[in-house]
Amino acid sequence: MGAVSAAFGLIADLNVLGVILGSAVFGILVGAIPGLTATMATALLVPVTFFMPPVPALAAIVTATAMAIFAGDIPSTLLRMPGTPASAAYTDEAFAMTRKGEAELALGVNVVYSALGGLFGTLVLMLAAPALADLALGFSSFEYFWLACLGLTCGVFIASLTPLKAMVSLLFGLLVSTVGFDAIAGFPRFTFGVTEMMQGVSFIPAMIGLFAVSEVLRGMAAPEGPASAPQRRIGNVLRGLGPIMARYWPNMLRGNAIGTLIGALPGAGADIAAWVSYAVSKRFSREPEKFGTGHVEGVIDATSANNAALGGAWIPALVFGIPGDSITAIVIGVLYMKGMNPGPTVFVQNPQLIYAVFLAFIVANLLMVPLGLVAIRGATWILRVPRRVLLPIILLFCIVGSFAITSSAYGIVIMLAAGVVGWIMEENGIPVAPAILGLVLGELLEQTFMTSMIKAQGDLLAFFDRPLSVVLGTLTVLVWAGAIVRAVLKLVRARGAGHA
Amino acid sequence: MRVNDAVLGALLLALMAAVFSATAAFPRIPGQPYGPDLFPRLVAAGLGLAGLLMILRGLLARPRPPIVRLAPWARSARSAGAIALALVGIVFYILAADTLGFVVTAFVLLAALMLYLRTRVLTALLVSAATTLIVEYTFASLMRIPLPRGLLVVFA
Repeated sequence: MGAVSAAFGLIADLNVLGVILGSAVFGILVGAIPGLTATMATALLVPVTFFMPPVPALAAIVTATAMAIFAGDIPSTLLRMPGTPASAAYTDEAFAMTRKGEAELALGVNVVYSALGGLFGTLVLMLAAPALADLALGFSSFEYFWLACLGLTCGVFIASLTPLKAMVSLLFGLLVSTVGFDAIAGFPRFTFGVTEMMQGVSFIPAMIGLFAVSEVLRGMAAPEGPASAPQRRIGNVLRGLGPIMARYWPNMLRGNAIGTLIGALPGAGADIAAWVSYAVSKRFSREPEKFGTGHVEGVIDATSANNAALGGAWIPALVFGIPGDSITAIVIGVLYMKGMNPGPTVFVQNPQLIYAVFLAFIVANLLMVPLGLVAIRGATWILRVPRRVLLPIILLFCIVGSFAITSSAYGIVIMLAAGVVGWIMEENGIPVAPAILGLVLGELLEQTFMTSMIKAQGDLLAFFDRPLSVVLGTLTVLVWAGAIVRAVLKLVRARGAGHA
Repeated sequence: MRVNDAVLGALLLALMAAVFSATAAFPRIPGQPYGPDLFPRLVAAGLGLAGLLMILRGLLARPRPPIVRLAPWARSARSAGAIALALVGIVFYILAADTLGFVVTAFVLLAALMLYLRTRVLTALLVSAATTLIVEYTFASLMRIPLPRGLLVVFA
């Protein structure tokens, strides 16, 4: 118990608490600005934390990322622009709630379930870290391949109203993900002789383009259209939450569990956790037809999952030095910088530091509700600004955010191209979300697929050799077979109706 | 602008053909049957298959949709102009930011777009100037993002 009280002493320090508060405000601002992500907040904090002792440095990252993941929901709900990729899965749903006049409820759900999700993830991180990390460590490229496949499958589910067009979008995203050096031979593909393309298409500018620039373009065509400021002001966001919490607590727990688990799996973070939870929520809902029309159920699952994923991602990072997501990839670098080399030994040598990180998680998530309420109040000025003023400002934020990722005009070019492509896709009823998922998971999918193929020497049955890969693989194949059968049936039925 | 599904399908088939021809020259790994071309080709084949289905869908749909259906914005010169101006604005920023610097370029971009969208002149100029300075301060000074200084370098 000595380590726990030592950890309390480390956190209950005015300087540390000040750093936590400052990072919280910073995290909320970065998260609420579309195009600036929790990962970027972390990357920007690292030079600052370099001058701090380990505990405030790690507490700053923990707090800023937790706040950013929640704050990403604010522009997502009010403007249909995900503040961070982790909100992208349920942006359409939350914005549909705003259109129905339920912005308060959506924001209330976001802040409360985000905090609860964060606490759940922390609890699992504290209790079950070694066991879960063991499981993830046992995975081979076959399991990773199937896992990426399942993630992509979920992407098509989200847009299952038009599975064929969703598949086109997904495949297009996968194709774009193959730009740059390939994982096996290191051969630069589809770079058109541009040096910067060798690193691949930068994901964050692409996301800004697909989600934000396309929205600005649509808005420019009708600057005072019906989409502008559907609600004049945000009332009490906590009203009406009681019945929601009583009715949907299983969704919350399911989102928490899925989020923590996906966060703990290397390579998949808060964004994928939200996609998967939303898809699972829709699949098992008693009212799946309401999804997409501004139904709160899927939002609860997904917003519970993405904050839970943050805690989960630290499990393999702390225990084995394997990043659970892009944020913890940076964290591992910070741990080495601070002489806290991640691995089982850090639990023996510096347990008080590990407990202090856990405490920072708890403090950050408790702070989230009051600070989140203030942020929601402050964010409503966005709705009062006329769109003819707001749209150019958002476009500038998009430009600067894309520039910040690459520190060059390359990011802006990617953003522009993705914006035009996304706009054309949406004009033609092709959903953009699966393309983003394909772009995110493409590299992992190709790498694990190629590694597995080379290991198996072309024997496709090897993909089903291991017990875990059998489960994941069979699940994926069944889901896809079902989707194809449904698409064919729909085509046949459409044809029958046409002749009748 | 909504294009007939069959046209989109044809475009996807063309994309598949382009990927197959571009990957034909990719090197092989000695001793490995699978090279850097395998995955893009699998994805492109999927796109081609989806393209065929789209063509079927477009041809079988009743009543048959037109080849191109104009969206409301395309019938209004003002709306189409706004979209074009936004795109031109981004290109202008990419080309001019290094020379003119962030402050000048961002101000021109903001003011031009706001004025086109019929914001009052004084409001547009004041908001553009304030936004530019706030973004410059937060991103360049607080976040240390190297926004181009351009003309203002003389004051640095």
